[in-house]
Amino acid sequence: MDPLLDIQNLSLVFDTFDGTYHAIDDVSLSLKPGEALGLVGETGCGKSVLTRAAFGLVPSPPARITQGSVKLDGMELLGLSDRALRQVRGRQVAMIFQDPMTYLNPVFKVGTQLVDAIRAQHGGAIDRKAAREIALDMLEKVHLPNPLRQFESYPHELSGGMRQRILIAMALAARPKLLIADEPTTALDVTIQAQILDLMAELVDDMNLSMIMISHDLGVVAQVCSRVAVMYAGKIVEDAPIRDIFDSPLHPYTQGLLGALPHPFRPADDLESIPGNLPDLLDPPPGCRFAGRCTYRRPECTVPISLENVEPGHSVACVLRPGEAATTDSATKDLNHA
Amino acid sequence: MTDTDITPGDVPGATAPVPRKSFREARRMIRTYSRSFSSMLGLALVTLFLFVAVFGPWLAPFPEDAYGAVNFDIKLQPPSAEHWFGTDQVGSDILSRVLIGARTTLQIGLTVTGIAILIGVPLGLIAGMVGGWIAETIMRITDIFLSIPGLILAIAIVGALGPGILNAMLALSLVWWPGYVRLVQAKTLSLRNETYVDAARALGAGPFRVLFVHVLPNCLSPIVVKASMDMGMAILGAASLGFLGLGAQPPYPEWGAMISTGRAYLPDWWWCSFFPGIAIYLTVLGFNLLGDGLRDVLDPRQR
Amino acid sequence: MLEIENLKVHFPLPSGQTVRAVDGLTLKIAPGETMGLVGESGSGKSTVGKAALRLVDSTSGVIRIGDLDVTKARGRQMRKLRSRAQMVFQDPHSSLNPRMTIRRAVAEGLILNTSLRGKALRDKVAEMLEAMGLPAQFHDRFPHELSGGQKQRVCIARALALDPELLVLDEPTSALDVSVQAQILRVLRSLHEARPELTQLFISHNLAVVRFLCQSVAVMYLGRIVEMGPVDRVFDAPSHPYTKALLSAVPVPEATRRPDRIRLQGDIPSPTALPTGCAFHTRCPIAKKDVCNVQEPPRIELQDGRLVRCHFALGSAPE
Repeated sequence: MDPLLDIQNLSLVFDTFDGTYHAIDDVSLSLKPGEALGLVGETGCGKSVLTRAAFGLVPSPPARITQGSVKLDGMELLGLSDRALRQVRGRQVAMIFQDPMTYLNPVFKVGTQLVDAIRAQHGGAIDRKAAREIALDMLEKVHLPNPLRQFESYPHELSGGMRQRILIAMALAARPKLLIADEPTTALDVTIQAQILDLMAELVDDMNLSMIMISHDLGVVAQVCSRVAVMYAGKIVEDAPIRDIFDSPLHPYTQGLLGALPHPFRPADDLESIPGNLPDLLDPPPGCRFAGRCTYRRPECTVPISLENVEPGHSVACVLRPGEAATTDSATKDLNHA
Repeated sequence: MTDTDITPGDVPGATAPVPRKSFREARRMIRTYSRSFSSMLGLALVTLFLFVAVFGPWLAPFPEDAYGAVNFDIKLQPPSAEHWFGTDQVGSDILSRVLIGARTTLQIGLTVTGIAILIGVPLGLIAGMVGGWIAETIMRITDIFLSIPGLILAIAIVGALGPGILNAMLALSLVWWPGYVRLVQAKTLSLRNETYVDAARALGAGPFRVLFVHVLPNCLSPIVVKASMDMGMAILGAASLGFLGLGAQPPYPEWGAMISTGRAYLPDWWWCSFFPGIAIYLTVLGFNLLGDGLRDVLDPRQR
Repeated sequence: MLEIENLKVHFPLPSGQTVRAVDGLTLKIAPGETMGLVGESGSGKSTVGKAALRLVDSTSGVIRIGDLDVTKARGRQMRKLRSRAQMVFQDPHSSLNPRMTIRRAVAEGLILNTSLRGKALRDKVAEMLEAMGLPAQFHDRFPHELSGGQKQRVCIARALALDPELLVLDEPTSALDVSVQAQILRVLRSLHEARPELTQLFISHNLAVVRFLCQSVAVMYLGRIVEMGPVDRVFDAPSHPYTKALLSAVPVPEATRRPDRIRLQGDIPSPTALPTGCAFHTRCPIAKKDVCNVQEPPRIELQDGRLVRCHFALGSAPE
């Protein structure tokens, strides 16, 4: 099957006063139709920049795409005019973000904003009444209680969970090919987060939605996605089915992340912490960007390395091969399998 | 945040030595400041002004002209090699008067801004920290002052006290402080809710310690920025009063008063008011640009 | 060690309504124990911590730290409270005065509460910071020159410098990345051995973190504790329906999705208008009409020592 989204060798830098900041370096990522991919990493790894850059949402300057291609359904997006990109974003790709309040206008009723957004998605080709029908239908799909009443509410009268449902409805009303969800539940409480994650999993299954979900939390991603790409310092270090990520992580950074996560139902005696900090992306190390913090570091780690397929569907950017790390890394394994 | 993180138990030797903080910080600030042309222009203008204010009497070719010397035989001469800025209606050298007037102008700016800070900052701190009816009273009085145009109020005050440079400064100070109350009160209110203020209270810091150690130092940047801009505005205010005949009285070398006297000789003898006008313009511009530049450097939001 | 009895903290709003942040909370922590206080936003968990240190005034009820009555403390007793109980806050970036070096930040509590001065003070501060893994070259830095994890370690050092008997930790890791969070958790856990007499109240919404760090846990919902007991018992066999729902909502870092999910409907009611009867009845999957919305549930002690506030805690669930 042809990929829906195909990012090849994308590199992006920010020109800052202190020098060139290499935010995204030679990243390739593709997504099949109907697939839900989790993009996981810590603060500053470039996960948000990557998806925003792919759809022309990173202002340039200071950003500069130095190489690569982004194809959506076979159409090259890099180099498109702003106008064309806006059309892509409105109709083919939809996005939802961490703080739904920021994306709703506080002075207009929720219903008005939904209707306006849907009419804009259709290029004004439908009247308010038809748009209202679509809006109510979508609110039903996202299980918003009392959609008719919420239609007349102002954003501040709704809870965070309801606002996020409304934004999901707004995003999906255009029947986009792809949904980008950037930390959609980070601002929500645990029980509300569970509701929203359930909803997203349901939409992926029932509406055959293709989605990239950005999160810092492997646990959250596991609730919705079938595949995970782990990012570190502007590079994808591992890309694998969710089961492989948890059961047989290959990259030392992925292993470290998993070892650092406490488990609510399996008491652990200790956690692993990854010593050191992110490398300076103004002057990134030549080879593997994790090498400076890696316990398995070898001389060949200074040689540039890219993602390589080691098992079906499982790629990793590391000189270690399956089995090599696992033998010395029993502590992590115990934590994940016990 | 590129410095190496050290986990407990790690060997500390791995961390690179870092230059002293104050040094690096100052260098970063100077770099940011000097990047902007307008900020540097402001700094140059203000430096020039301060230089003239200090050394004016020695720089002036005819210093006695600043204090009422009369030479009717050379009155109203256009700019020439001997009198660069020309002479006025009593034959005084305008260049000398402008140079020596700088000191008066500086005194006015410093006095007005200084008194306004002395009144406004404590009131703002009290209003921000204490709350309740005390804060309410302070803020309402402040509002009343702010709702009346400053210059009009100053004119009324000078009118009551009688014209003169001291009364003009006093009047301007009295209308200038409410801005500081507003600024400091707002800043205090937001700082009071900072977690580090809570943390200090949990460590046993009393209200005065919280105020002077944790709140006031963090208010200083906006106060410095506002003060540098107010220097310019106060100078302009004093010049306006002088122009209206309510400030310094001729032959006292004050720029506003010089323009006022020179006005009668426009447009034929334009240099009488043109050069003091340019002096005011450049000084006020200088302080404003300096204030803008300082804001860019000191404003924490830029970090 | 820490004893809270029927604590109420109400905040009046300008609109005339009252936020009942904490509404009749009772808990007890034994000396040397680490208790997790969990709940969602609006449950009042942070307010409990602040009330224990008198950073907010309580409306009624009693808070005792050892033999010291916190709610009535004045003057000298307040000073005593400061050296007995300390706090670490959620956001390390805003918990440190940007204009103070970290050496001064840690010294502040010592200057205010002890007679240490000069070299003795310097040495004590250096010892505290080094124990948190911050060697000498960091001590004269300003907060903005440190990473989030380093700042939080400064905050812990600052709190421990006074040798408190009680340490209140208000979400100390929720502003941090996973790998940094692990560092801080390890530091806190090492305190169990380094300072076995230190009692800790760990306030968090992250249940996995509580499981790692705490011996006992109290679950809060709308200003009250609904379930309290040893952490293993509460997590492995929750009794209150809210605890069950909360635990099954936790995103678990594993590939298989948990089948036994309980999903709560709707949102947390506003603490300005608490539901009658059991505050949880509006979202409770087992609420029974004319019971739960009318009567306040009693505090029931289970056989394993757990305390549960639910009409059906002893198994008489509705048909």
